[in-house]
Amino acid sequence: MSGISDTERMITLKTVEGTLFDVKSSIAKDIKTVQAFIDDSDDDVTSPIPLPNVFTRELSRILDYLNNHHRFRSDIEKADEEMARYDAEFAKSMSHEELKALILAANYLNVKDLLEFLNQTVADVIQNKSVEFVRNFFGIENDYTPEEEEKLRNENEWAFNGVEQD
Amino acid sequence: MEKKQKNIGDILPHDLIHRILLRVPAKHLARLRCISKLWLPCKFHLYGFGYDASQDDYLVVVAWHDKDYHYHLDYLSLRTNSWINLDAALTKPLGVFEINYCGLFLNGAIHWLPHSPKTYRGAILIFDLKERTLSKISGPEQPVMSAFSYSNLALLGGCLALY
Repeated sequence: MSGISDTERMITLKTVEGTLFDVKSSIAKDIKTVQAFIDDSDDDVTSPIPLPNVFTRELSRILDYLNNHHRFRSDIEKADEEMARYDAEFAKSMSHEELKALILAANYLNVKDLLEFLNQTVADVIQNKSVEFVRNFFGIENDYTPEEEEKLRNENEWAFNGVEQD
Repeated sequence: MEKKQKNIGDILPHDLIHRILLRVPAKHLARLRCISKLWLPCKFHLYGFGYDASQDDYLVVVAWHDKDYHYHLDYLSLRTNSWINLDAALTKPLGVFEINYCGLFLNGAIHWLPHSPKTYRGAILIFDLKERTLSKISGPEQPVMSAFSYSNLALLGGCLALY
């Protein structure tokens, strides 16, 4: 085995807009959809791998996240603390729309840790919000009749205490 | 560009929304059920709580199906504070459950009586907290055979009871 850091093989990814990203193969391993593509190829992958569902903004964020997490992991002592700080900033830096777009991208690319983190971030955002806020958040139509909704709300009245202002 | 991104966010698929809801505490989940009828079937169906002495860990186990009747199994480890997906451990459908049903903890495992006569006739479903596996044991031979199997499971003096 030769040194891994400088001579590591690079993979090129191509977004919907046609932007190219060079990614270390150790990072690509965390992007399961890409890794599966590589594993399924008979020869070494030299041409860019097209990602027809992933936009530049999202891929850039995902790679930023993975690169930083790899870096944190290489320094065990400070890893947890720095990672938590980075994750908090990462979540805060996005609008709700951006957060949802990133969830879709992370889901498509099958980046498990990131997807779990993003899901938790959304769960934290919506858990104290009103029903109307969450409907809006997910773009879900209200399909209850007013009577049905009233009935459900009454059944679950205890759960409506302590709801935050949207 | 802004518009395109907005549309993408609008179509978060239901299985993803469901995975997010799994992380919302139950108190809030009851309220959020009012959001859409689509989410009514998306509720927990089998769940249980137990202690794994081998890892000194408390686990919350949840088995459920989505609206397409795909089955899912997840557990929350309180020691690591993380959800672990165990869909791969589901070898066959758990059967449709009409009610939320809390399993019983005994001898390091959580026990449920599935309401699916076809796949689990008279069997008891078991989640072993140490092995983190789902399996089943056969129920006792019924002295009086009837068209229906037992409908309830209980703990009586440290033993499982069927009635």
